[in-house]
Amino acid sequence: MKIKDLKSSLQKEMDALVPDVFTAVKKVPINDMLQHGSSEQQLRQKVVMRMLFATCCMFFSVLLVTASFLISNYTKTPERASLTYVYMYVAPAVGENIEPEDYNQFELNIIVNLDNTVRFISLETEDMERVLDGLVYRNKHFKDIMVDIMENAQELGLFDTGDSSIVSISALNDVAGVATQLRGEVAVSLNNYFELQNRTADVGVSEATKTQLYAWAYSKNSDAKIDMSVDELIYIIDVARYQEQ
Amino acid sequence: MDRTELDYQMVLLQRGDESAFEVIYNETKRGLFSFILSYCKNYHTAEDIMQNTYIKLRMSVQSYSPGTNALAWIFTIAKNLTLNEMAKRKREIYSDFEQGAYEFGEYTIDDKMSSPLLKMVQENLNETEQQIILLYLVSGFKHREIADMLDKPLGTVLWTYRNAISKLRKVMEKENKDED
Repeated sequence: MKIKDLKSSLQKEMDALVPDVFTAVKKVPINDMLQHGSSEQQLRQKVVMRMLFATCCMFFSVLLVTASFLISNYTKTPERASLTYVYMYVAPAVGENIEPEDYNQFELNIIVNLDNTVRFISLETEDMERVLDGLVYRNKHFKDIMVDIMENAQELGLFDTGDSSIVSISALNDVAGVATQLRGEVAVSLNNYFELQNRTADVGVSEATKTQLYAWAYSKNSDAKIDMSVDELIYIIDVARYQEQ
Repeated sequence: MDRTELDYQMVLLQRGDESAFEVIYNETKRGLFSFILSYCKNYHTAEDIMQNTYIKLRMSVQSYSPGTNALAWIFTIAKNLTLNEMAKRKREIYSDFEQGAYEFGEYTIDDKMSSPLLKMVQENLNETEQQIILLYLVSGFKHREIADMLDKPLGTVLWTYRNAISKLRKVMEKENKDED
């Protein structure tokens, strides 16, 4: 018998001997190692899954902390802003029974941050003409710029009518104590200025809450609410400024 | 079927093609069974191991690298399962009162059907010779691949193969003379 014949005969005999396991084996799903892998493989997969889970947790924690930090910063903004109205009535002449109507009236709006640095300043005449738009004063302490603003007002002719002034100050803040403190600091600053100028001034406190600045904002944005917050006011001012540019 | 075609079928199986598994099964079952049988020498044990080999093949086909030797990959699974099974049975012998119940080393093909040539191989060749003859003639491995599988030098495999063929020829010639 040749090797070729031996091979063929052996293969035939083996063919008859080979058991049929096809049907039983076919029931097993293909590529199903995840469910039926060895314990070592399952352990490795578990470790990988746990590491993946831990990484995801850390990622989402960092994301959550960052997001809450940003949100808290954003929501804190209204609390940090304060708006001080300084109504200045400049008397035409020194004398008794002076009526406010006879005065040269202008309005100073100062919006300050929590640390009393300036966020926004505007100086407007009674005709709602904005004569000073204090971008240059931004982030400076309002006490440091009060003298400068008064000098600007004088140069603009707003003090020409007389030597005596009536100043009314009101302030708005979510915390009443902050508003009171702010009003007091403005009053001290103005008194100091008037003393330096040898002028007299009657500095008082007003409860007025809406100023010409609000009226101006309403004129720029018809959707503005009557009781809009300081930050909404700032937003409208910024948009209007941008459009004017 | 050549090695390239088998590799292609493995790739199809990786993609979940059931018909590819049928092709692979039909192409490898004979060689695989004779290979397992050459190790464990017990029909029922070989049947179990063969079934487990195909189960493992289906479950872990994704770990096969296309372009490598698919046949060697399948037979490596079978070899590992066989060695594990042999070690397991060996341990069980010591804990079983009926020693010898699970012992390897005894063909049971006679119980299944008449296989004169296989019987001749079993009776006249030693264990290594049987393995090499079955792997070369029935499973279709090359001598070099058999050398790798059995951890033997190529020269030893070639010499053993020639020696085994020579023994079988002598036996067959003697049987032919006896028949005459």
